[in-house]
Amino acid sequence: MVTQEELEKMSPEEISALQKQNCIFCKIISGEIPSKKIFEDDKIVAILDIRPATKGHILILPKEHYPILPLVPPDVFKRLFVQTKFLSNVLKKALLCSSVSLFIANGAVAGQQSPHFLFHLIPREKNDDLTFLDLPVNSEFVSFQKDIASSLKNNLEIMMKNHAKREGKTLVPEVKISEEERREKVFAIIEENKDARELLRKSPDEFRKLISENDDLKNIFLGVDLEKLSEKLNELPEEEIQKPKPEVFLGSDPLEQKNKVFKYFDEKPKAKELLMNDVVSFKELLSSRPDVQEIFKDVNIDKLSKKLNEVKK
Amino acid sequence: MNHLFSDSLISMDLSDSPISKGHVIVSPVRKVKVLSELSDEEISTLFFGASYSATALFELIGAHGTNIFLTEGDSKLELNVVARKENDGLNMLWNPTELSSSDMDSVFNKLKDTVDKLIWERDNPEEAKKAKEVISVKKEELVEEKGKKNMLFNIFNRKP
Repeated sequence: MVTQEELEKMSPEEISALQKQNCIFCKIISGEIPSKKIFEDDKIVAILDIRPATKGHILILPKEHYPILPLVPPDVFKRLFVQTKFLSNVLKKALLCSSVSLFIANGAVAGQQSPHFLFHLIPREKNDDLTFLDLPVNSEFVSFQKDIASSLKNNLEIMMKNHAKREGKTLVPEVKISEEERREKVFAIIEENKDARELLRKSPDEFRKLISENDDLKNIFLGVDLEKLSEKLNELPEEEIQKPKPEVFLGSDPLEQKNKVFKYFDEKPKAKELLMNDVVSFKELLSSRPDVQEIFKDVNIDKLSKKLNEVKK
Repeated sequence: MNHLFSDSLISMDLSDSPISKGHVIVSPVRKVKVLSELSDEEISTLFFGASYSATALFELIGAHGTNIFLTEGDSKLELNVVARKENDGLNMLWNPTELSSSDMDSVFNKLKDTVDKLIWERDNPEEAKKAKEVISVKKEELVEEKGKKNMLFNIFNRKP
């Protein structure tokens, strides 16, 4: 037992060592104290909370002793939250709950009860009677929020820049493209580049390295789960990917149709130009010329114009 | 909302509906409703952003502690970072549910079995795929059988 006097003489390192020595969660992790461990890997562990907010409430914690979140080293930090995705799925599949809540308390004032950093993952149901996160909004705080905005902004910009540097990345500015556009671009790249496709099939990690060298590619593949995409690609036979999608040439023999159209364009480059620049006028031309109409029968004119413009770019 | 920071993955803003003095919302740029839809990089950056916000609130406004929380729902996923001070009047405690030891055991077994099953499926994708196919065939057979039974039932119950 340490006396108050001894405690006052201790350095912060000695206090932290003492906390670790007496930490109940370190004892749970080592097995000295029994617990209901549902998952563990080399860095983290998840156990059932013995005082649960709802049935299936779990605690996720690093195996090493860190008193607060900012002291958790980056590799363990990432593992904690990446495995949280997996564990949220476990809760939903096992308990058929509709969603989860995640709750972290930093500091005793915020409700942190353990000297070992941990957080809560709580299964939720719509209209359950758990209200601890439904907190009253106070409109009087709005002006305070405005007052701190600029200094908070400066601090966070510096912190995030340094974070990117530590991670060996550069900050990529937000690019506003819709999810649909992103999907289209991703699929176009995969379809058109056999080497890239092969690399993604074999090693999502290598592919990630490749795209991290190019800002445009980095933007296009933002938030795309490369492991999942690679898995999907491996399920598809190569012919299926290479087969051109029937989106422009919709007739029974798309290849023959394509040849006819491009032969016509070779002869009449002005018509091609018109299609690229003014689809409406091109359609008018078609309606007045049954012979040309025949060539473009079952051709998606709008898509063709778009494709031609893309190729030109 | 007072915008604080954004990059290609996350965005940070001061909340328009603050529950404390110093309430930051950290959200993914992509419209995602549940944690499992986030990529590994997105979820890590999201929580790094939250942790830096907590540190900034601690340094700038002298918060004594912070809470970081989210609940998945019908709208876009948002992580709240809330500055806390002594006697701020906020109560984020729940009343623990009393579970009997057999209830605890049953929940534990369900969760542990699901963890083991999902890990097995991840490590043995081929076999997992086959197993799923077998299950769906069995289900179809069951539905068919039920249909036959219903037909017999209808025949027997047909009123003259």
